[in-house]
Amino acid sequence: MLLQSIISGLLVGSIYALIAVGLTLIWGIMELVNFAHGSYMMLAMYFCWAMNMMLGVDPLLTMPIAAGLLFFVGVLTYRAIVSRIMNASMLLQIFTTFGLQFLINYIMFFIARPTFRTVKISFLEGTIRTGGLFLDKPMMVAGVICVLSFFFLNLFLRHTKVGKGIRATTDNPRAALALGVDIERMYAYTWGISLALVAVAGAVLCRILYTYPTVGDKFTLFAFVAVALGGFGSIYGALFGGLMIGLVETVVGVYAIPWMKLPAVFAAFILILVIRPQGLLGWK
Amino acid sequence: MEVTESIEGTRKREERRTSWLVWGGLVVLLILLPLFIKGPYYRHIVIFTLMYVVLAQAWNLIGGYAGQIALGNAVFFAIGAYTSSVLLVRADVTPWLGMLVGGVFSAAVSLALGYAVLRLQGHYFAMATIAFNEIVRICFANWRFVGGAQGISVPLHMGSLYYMEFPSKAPYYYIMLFMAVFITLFVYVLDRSRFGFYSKAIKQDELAAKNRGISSFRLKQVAFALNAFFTALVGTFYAQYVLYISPDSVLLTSNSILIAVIAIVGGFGTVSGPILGAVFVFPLTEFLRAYLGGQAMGLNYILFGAAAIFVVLVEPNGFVALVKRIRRGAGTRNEKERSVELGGAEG
Repeated sequence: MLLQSIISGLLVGSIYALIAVGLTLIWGIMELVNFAHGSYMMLAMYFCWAMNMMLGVDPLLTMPIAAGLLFFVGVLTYRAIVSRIMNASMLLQIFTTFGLQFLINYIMFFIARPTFRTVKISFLEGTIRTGGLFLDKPMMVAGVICVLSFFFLNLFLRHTKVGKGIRATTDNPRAALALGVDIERMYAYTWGISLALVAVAGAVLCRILYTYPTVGDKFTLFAFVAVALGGFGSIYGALFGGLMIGLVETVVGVYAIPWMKLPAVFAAFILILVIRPQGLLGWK
Repeated sequence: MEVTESIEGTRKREERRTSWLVWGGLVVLLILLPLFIKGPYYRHIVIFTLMYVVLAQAWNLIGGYAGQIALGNAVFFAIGAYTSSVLLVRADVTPWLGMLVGGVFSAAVSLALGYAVLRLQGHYFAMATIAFNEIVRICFANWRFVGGAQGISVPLHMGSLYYMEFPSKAPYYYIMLFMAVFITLFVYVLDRSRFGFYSKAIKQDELAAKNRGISSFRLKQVAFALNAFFTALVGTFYAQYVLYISPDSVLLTSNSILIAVIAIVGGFGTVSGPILGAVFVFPLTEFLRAYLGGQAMGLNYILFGAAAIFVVLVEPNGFVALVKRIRRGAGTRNEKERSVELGGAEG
């Protein structure tokens, strides 16, 4: 029972981590919190659902398309809106991304109605039973994909020119600019990558959860908590934070009062913010 | 120089007199409004608009003057609504008293919460208040004593002053009007008091203000407590007006955000901004929703989102600044100068 909850906790946590890493990338490079992060994930979920309904394709196959589309949406969001508020006060930045959240959620609400949508999975479904453990296949697929995404993100940031440019801009935008990095493009790429990652999370999530217009809001909050746990702007921190939340959520849910799991996570979040604003690990 | 100064002084006094006349006329008009607006639906919208004026004005204290983006005001609203309702249902206490108890209780909660989180800056404070909002919502939804997810229905005692329940909408209107006028005057006085000057000093340069001995932390605590107190009063009013409260109606995070959006769209940190925001945004979206009916579910929220982004991109200081800019653009050169001065005085 304990092993079971630890495994499912880590699997759920890896999804939280993948959502959180997009948030932390943007925070790291421009100190801006994207409150619409979960809404973009919801868009990817709807895209996969629509493809599934119309063409019968499994979300795992449409995942690359969703990621590509959201990459462009991210670049567009940066160019059209975010680049104009880079020097605005923090209050206005917050309200822009909140405005985006409202706008995206309710445009989807308007188009798709508040109906719970499910995707018909064509492969990798059902559960495996081994040694008293129940392993949900869609969850395992999700976990594997999320961990792989982290692996590729890491490779990308370390070994490609754009990745190095993004890291340089995160460390010191002025120095990067002086060394010939086109930081405007780096910002735009970061938005694109951040949303592509959240699209991957959305694609695996719509095989597990219902899809509805406000499905992303809870995940935005969880991503904040993960980012706070791991340290603002730290990529491995986001991974650590996401896995921790998954663990706490399932273990508290199983062994303590079930409804206490969310308040427990959020209370821990406030506590960390107050005691260690640099994050629990405090890498940045 | 002296002559020009005295001329400017007279002009300023004149302007102050006209602005008092405008405000006074507005209040008289609002007092007479129920004579013109008879339909219960329109009265309902006017009451809710006034409610948002008070809520946005209260938020203005913490968000506009203390510069802290509080996104958990639904909690204080709910404390007001729940305190009076629980007292009424369980101990038959009049909501008038419950309103005050709720306000004081809410201010106490804000002081305790603020002690921990008001030291946080910017995004961190905003996120902490959202998380707090979620904690309280989930706890209330699972707390039997306050009715859990079903919430509380306020018992019917129509036409009783003791139970704050009236058969027509007019008394509700006047209660809300009184609160809106009161809080606006309150913010006006505060704006010109030491509080207002300190808050401007802190916003310009927090470090310099600190070196002058201004405690920004205490100012923020006072602002947060006042915000919580007024918001809770509106919460009680809401419970008595709608006669039903539940975590899904009074504790939603989106309500907290809505309050702040209204204040920001209007222009925060000014006396008239939140009023403009509520008057522009709320009836517009409400009529739109009623007019388009079921086809347009969520359209009012789309409008809210678009308004927030529009304001940030076009006029970051809200409608107040937009109105000023239009007036300045239309006026002659002389009027231009005057409106600049007026802008400074309204600041």
